[in-house]
Amino acid sequence: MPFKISEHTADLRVELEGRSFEELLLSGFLAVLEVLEIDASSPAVERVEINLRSCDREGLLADWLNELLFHIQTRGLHFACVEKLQIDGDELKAVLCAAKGGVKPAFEIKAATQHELKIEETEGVLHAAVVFDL
Amino acid sequence: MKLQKNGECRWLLPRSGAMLVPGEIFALPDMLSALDTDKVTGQVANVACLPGIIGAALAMPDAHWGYGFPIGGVAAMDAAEGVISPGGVGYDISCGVRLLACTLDAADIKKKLSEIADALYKAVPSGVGSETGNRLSENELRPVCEKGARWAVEKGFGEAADLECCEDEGATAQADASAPSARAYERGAAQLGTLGSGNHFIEVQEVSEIFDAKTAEVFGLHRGQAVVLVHTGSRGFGYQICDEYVRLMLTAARRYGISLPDRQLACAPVNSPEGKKYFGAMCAASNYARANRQMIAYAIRGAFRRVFGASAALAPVYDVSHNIAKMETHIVAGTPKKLCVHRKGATRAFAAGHPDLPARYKNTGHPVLVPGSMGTSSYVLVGTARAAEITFASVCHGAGRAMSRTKAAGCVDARDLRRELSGMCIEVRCASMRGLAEEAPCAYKDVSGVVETCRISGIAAKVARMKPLAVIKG
Repeated sequence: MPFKISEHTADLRVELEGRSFEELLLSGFLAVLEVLEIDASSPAVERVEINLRSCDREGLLADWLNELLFHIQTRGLHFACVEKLQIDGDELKAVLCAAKGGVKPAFEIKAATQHELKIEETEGVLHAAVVFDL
Repeated sequence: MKLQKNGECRWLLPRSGAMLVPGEIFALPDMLSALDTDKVTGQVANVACLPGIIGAALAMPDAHWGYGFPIGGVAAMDAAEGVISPGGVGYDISCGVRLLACTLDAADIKKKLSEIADALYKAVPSGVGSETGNRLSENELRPVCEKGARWAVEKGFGEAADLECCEDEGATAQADASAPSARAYERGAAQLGTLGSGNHFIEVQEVSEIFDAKTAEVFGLHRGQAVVLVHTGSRGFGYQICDEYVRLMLTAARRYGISLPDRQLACAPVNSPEGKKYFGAMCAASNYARANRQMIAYAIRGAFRRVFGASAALAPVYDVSHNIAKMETHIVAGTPKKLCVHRKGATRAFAAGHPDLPARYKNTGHPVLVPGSMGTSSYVLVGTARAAEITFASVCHGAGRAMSRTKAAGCVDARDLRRELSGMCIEVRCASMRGLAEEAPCAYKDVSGVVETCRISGIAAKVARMKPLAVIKG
């Protein structure tokens, strides 16, 4: 698993890692599905485009996670995979495959916070810890 | 960071580094260890660095590790020169509590406890992503954002008397319904009148102890009486607004040259275009939350009438938010000063005589509602003149978590907990067994100790204690 769920008194902390920024974002994608207990094996029937621009890479990571949460929790999309993920500076373009009207998530995440969010590199691997407000 | 004793249950965090003011933590000596002390003091110190902060960055007795601000944090900023921070309010904007006093005594309720628990669970949508099945468009929600609980009463969900017992008479006038995004409206479209999940609940309680008979009488409370406590907020509407404005303020903070000790403290000057827009959006969400609690109160009244008949009326006691930023005037160094008071898990507590009190509570101060955890007590307090002097008229908002949700879910068996509560004659209805385990009483601090800290430090007086009879968990 490219992520680890750890404790936070009020909320939930997820430690992500990846060999590139794109991989870090994909780790975040998998972590969101895991926390919400979404089965990614459902047959995807539609494609969702996501375009984001943020103030920096940490901001882009939080915005990406919040974008996923919005589509899952508000629009009822059941993401199956990330088909395309392209980063250009502080901009992100992605295409995701999703099924609509899937099972409701088991948990509610209010948001991925910016609390102490910092992307750090150790021996070629990027690390970031994201606190989710539950 | 070393804390210095600063009076009964008060601990000073002296200024250091970039702190503009000291910090102050309220806690019984033996509760300091349960406070995540290092985490809370670190977060208090960070808040003390924000431009325009006045007096001290405060942590109430129920404080614990949060994100950016500690939960239980209070920070008052100069409204002319200070900043406003969405993180200082939190995602569940205007999350708060409403107390209803029943014409029936607990003894009457206990005869049909299971029935009323079922009726409440059926009447109020609860649980993860709970929805009403009735989607409101942005155009339909805008009046909700402008009028708050007043909108609900005008639509027939309550009575005018309800509004007299609400903070700001049920609506803040400073809402800007154009400030929330289309996405925020989309996220809140089907959630008005829903409880949600997490620590939100409806609890039927018995007034088990009266500490101040005279004030309790004014609040409409007596020993043995049944009451209903509702805890919820602005649902997805508020979450989306907070998320979008934290993002906006990260950029704004850079533009205004504000150095942030933590990104979640993203902020902008209160009087900047960004600050004003956030305040308008936050007030819109606050009004959504107040309308939400009003509609839930209406549904609860219907459930009580169905189970107990027309004589089972529920009178409003008070409705107050504990995640909010408010423009208030406080005395600073002997002079009245307009402040933007952030309360992130803290309750406003205006004492007797404050000009913003409803007529009913002019001579007592308004009720301060402090829910405990399941199976433990909740309290009604009242603010004091001392609170106005040392905490910007703020007190605790609950028991405060002592254990993470992950840890609680890992060590508490929800079925055992349910049996244990049943053994205490408490009926529990819940949408999720894991959610029940996460909210187990052992995951929280001792609410009586928290309340006692408020009393000893002089920031609140105890009025009444309630014990749970039936719990509807989100």
